[in-house]
Amino acid sequence: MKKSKKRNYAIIVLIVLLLAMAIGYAVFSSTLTISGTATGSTTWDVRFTNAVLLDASGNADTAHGTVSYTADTVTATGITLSYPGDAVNLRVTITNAGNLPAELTGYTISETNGTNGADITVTPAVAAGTTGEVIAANGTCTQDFVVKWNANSTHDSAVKNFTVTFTYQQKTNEVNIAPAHT
Amino acid sequence: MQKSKNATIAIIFLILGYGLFATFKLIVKYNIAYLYIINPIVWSTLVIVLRVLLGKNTENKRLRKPIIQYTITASLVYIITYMISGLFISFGKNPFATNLKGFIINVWILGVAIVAKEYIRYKLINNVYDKDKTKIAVFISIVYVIIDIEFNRFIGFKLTPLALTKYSFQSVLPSIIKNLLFSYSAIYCSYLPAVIYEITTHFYFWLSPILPNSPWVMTAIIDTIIPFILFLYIRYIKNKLDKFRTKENIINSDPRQIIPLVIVIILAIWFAIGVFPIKPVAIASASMEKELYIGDVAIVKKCSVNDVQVGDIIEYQMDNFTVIHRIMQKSQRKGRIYFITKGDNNKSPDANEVIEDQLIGKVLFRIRYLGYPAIWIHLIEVHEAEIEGIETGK
Repeated sequence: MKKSKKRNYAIIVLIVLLLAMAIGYAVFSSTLTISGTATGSTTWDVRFTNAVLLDASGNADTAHGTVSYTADTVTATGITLSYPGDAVNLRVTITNAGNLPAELTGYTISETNGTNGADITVTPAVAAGTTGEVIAANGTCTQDFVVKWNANSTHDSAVKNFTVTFTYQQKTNEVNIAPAHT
Repeated sequence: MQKSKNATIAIIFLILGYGLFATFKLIVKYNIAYLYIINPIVWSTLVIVLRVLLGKNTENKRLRKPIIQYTITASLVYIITYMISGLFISFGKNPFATNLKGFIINVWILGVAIVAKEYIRYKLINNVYDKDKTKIAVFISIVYVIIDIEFNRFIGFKLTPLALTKYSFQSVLPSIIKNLLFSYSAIYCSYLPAVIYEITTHFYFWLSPILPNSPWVMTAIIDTIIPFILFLYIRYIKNKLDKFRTKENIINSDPRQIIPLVIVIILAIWFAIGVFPIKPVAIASASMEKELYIGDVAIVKKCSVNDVQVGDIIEYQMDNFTVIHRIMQKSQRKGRIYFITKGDNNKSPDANEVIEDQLIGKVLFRIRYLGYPAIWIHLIEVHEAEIEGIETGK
């Protein structure tokens, strides 16, 4: 068989395989594990670049727990509040180091309760996606998460551990709309 | 217009100047105008100018068909490899806007520049005489690699050695290989193979609703190896159809010789990063001495809670790291399995119970000392608080 025909057959086989995968995705998409925003594209680089606990006055708070971060996850460990009703703010900074504008579409807060940790709630001050938070290329955005001990709690102490991740997508109509952050 | 080396070099410098200007904050500050207006128009204008000034070029028709066939094959293999990798790792939602409007916008803001660059490369390489083509091809490849490096990503960020290494392997090395490939095909064929490869692979990223959550190592491997193998195939077919090449020369350039080695290397790297059901884990703490020492590699088999029992050494997931400790107690409450674990070298059990969802797998055996390179890389990044967490399972 001519080499040229062999190569054509190889291309046809690959196209069929590709289509089979696309059909497979359409059929099995509900059972595929799809979580968060994919990290497979090198065009995008939206990441956490800072995370800090703040007290009621907005000063850095190191007494109520520790906070660390990687590019895609902020981890708060051993968050211990003083009394029911007490609260601290977790302030995170998200930076878009890529060249395309990104719109924040959601946060995922995964909680691991320490002692009486269920009495502590973690909620974003502004839910992503509700205000169309857009981070321009080379821009940053800060977001606060309120970590609060339920005022009606009857326990003497409560400890919370949690992580925060975010999802985003390309913003395409920012030509007309000024980005929420720059 | 007569061929001119000086004019070609001048145009390449012009492209370099524009690329650097565009990359740094001078234009990035006005990102919307740059993305939607300036960049596509600059590249389109350069295409039109070169087409008018330099006219048409004569293509090597003998090489055109096989090279295009190989290129289509390589781009399909690229897409399929990425999709298969997602089945082993996981998928995430595509950050690109994959609806029709988003696709059209991406074709305009990204696709026009991609196609234009390859046409311009071809025109410039063929605007000089044969004796200068290789030098111009290398020069324009260097310029395009420099333009591809997004220097603005490093402005204002801490440039650690690890970040630099990651970016070099994930972006710079693939850019070098691709540019050499496209320049080579521009010398011996036309701009079409480069356009076909770039457009096909980019369409996948712009249209697929999901993309794999590839670790940077996997991205680096796929983006480097596939264009490199395509380059070898194009070189091979060019040698084969060159009547002045000896048989030995043709055999030596046959890429099929190295493909088994490349596949083995890829599989070894995928094994190392945990794609398969059995994976290696470097031991970073002394909590499991004398069973596992710092620097050992534990071979972990992914399994479910039914496959482990008291006395087994398991790997379980914490927030940002994993822990390898021995099961001291296994219990069930409300239909869920819980473990109490302890490091052999620790005085007390781990602070928190391990829930069944956290279980990753069971340690089968260890290999001494093999984990040190991974630990050295990891220690650059990790904070001391994490090391303490690993020791006590907190």
